[in-house]
Order: sequence, then C-alpha cells, then structure tokens
Amino acid sequence: MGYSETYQVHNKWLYFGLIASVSLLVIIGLGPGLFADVQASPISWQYLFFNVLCHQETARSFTLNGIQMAVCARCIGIYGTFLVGLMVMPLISVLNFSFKAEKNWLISAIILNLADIIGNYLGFWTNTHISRLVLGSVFGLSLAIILSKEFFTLNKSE
Amino acid sequence: MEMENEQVQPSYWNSVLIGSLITALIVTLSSIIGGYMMLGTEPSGAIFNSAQLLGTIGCLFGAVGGLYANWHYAKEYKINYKIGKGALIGLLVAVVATVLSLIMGQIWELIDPSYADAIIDWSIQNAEAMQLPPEAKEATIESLENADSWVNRGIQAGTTLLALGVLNVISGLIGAKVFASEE
Repeated sequence: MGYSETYQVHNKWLYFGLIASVSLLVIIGLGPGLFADVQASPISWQYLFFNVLCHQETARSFTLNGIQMAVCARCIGIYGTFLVGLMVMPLISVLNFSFKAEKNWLISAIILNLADIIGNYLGFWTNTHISRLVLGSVFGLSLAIILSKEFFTLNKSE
Repeated sequence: MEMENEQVQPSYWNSVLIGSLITALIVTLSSIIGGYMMLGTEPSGAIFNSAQLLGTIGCLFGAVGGLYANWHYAKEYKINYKIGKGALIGLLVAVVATVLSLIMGQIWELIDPSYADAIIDWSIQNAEAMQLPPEAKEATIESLENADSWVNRGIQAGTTLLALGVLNVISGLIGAKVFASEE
C-alpha cells in the first residue's frame, strides 16, 4: 500500500511579505557598515530606525567594516535566524513537529534569553557577543518553527 | 461561550487600544527616562550611550503590544482566528502606538519645556567629541541643531511607525498562532 505526499502552501502573500520585511530588518540591522559608510553617526538612518526597539549599546553590538551594527548581537541573531528560518520553512514543515513541541521551544527560548539577561545583570555570569548571538538565534529559529505550518503543510494520503 | 469560525467576530479595537497604550508607554517612558539618565552623564563621543533605559531592560519590548493585543482579543471573546487577522491587529497596534507616543512626547514637553533643548545640547556636545571626519561631524551637528523641526519629527515618527509596524506584525502573527489558533 503506497502513500502519496502533497505539499500545500497557505497565506502566500503574507509569507512573501514577511520574507521581504524581515530581509529589510536584517539589512537595516547590519547598519551603515554594510554600505561601508565611514561617515556613520548617531543620525544614520539605520540607527534611527531601531532606536525604539534595541538598546544599541556599543559594548553589546558587533561591528561590520569597523562600524557598529544598528542592533545588538542578540537582535541580529533573532532577525538573522528568523529570516533563515522563513527561507527554509518548507523544509521545517516536513519535520512535522507537534504544536505543543513548537510552543514549548518558543517558551524555552524566551526563558533562556531572559535568564541570560537577568543572570548577567545580577552578576551571576558575564555573557559575550557570541552567547547573546547564539541565544538570540535560538529564539529567532523558534519563531520560524512555530509559524511554519501556517505557510506550508505536508499532507499524506493513502 | 466558545465562538469558533463564525462569520461575524467581535470588534478587536478594544484590544488594539490596550496593546497600543502599552507599546506607547514603553516607547515613550524608555525614551524619556533614558534621556534623563543620558543627561546625567558626560558626553563621551560614543555613538550610543550606555545609560539608555532600554539597555537595562532589554530589547524588543516595543513588539509586546501586538502579542498582548492578540492575547487579549482571543481570551476576552474566546475565539479562534487566522494569523492574517493577528498580523492586522499587530499593524494597527503599531499605528495607534506611534500616534499615542507622539502625543505623550508633546505632553512631556509641556511638563518639562527644557527637556528637548537639553537633549539636543547634550547630543551636540557628544557629536563634537566624536572621532568623525570634519564634514561628517558638521553634518551631524547641523542635523542635531534642527532635530526639533517638524520635518525631523515627521521623519522620526515615520521610522518609528515602520519599525513598530514590522515588529508588531510579526508579534501579532505569533500571538494569533499561540493564543487564537484552532490547534
């Protein structure tokens, strides 16, 4: 007895709109250094764009071409892996995780990030650019995973 | 009473307004309190000042409104809806929150009329201390001197709307998926 698998794509416009928007966030988040703008200053539009969303602390941000990114290491991790997750969403949906598992991963990612921020703030440990990037990436990926079935589903039928 | 997949669903404006108010308060208060914290420091020439309030509470709090509005709407009326509606609720939260934060900023200028000028003066002193090419420094200072103009306020409001818009659409999608999904 054979099975056939059919791929269903939903909310196409929303999916492509989301990819376009998040790509924009990543491009802006990389900051003036992406364009090798040596005249970068606080009035650069990339910094203005994110000033209500990210602390933009110099000590907590990566640099690109020697110029500080417009978002911190954690935020660039979130936006970057969310974009990657959106792009590989058809593959994620093949894995067919349960909604409960997806939700638990998202909650775990939030708790991990909050614990890292609070632990660092209280002086229990000192987080690094890489640890912030990795934890932010875990959160970004969990966002893409929980949305995957809203855009792609794999139906198996006999 | 559980309402599922009904043609007519209750209005989401109450939830949008609550989400917007929360977002506007976070954005405005973090900006104002962070501003005063910044004024308490010496201009060092750094691009960003570590005294910003957001630095102590973390990032992405401006995206909470879209998530909260969806949670409120789904729980208040015990309904399920598609993520597209969640995204719309998030977008509306961003639009209303931008307007509310502008109004709150104007109200604060009435309460403390010297605040905006003090921030501009501090920023100019900071720009003067920056390691920038002379023409870039001049352009930065010139722009900061005009920071209070309506054109610059409009640009700032536009970028705030765009940033909050994208982030709250995403948080609205997640909110609808987590709180209003039929799964």
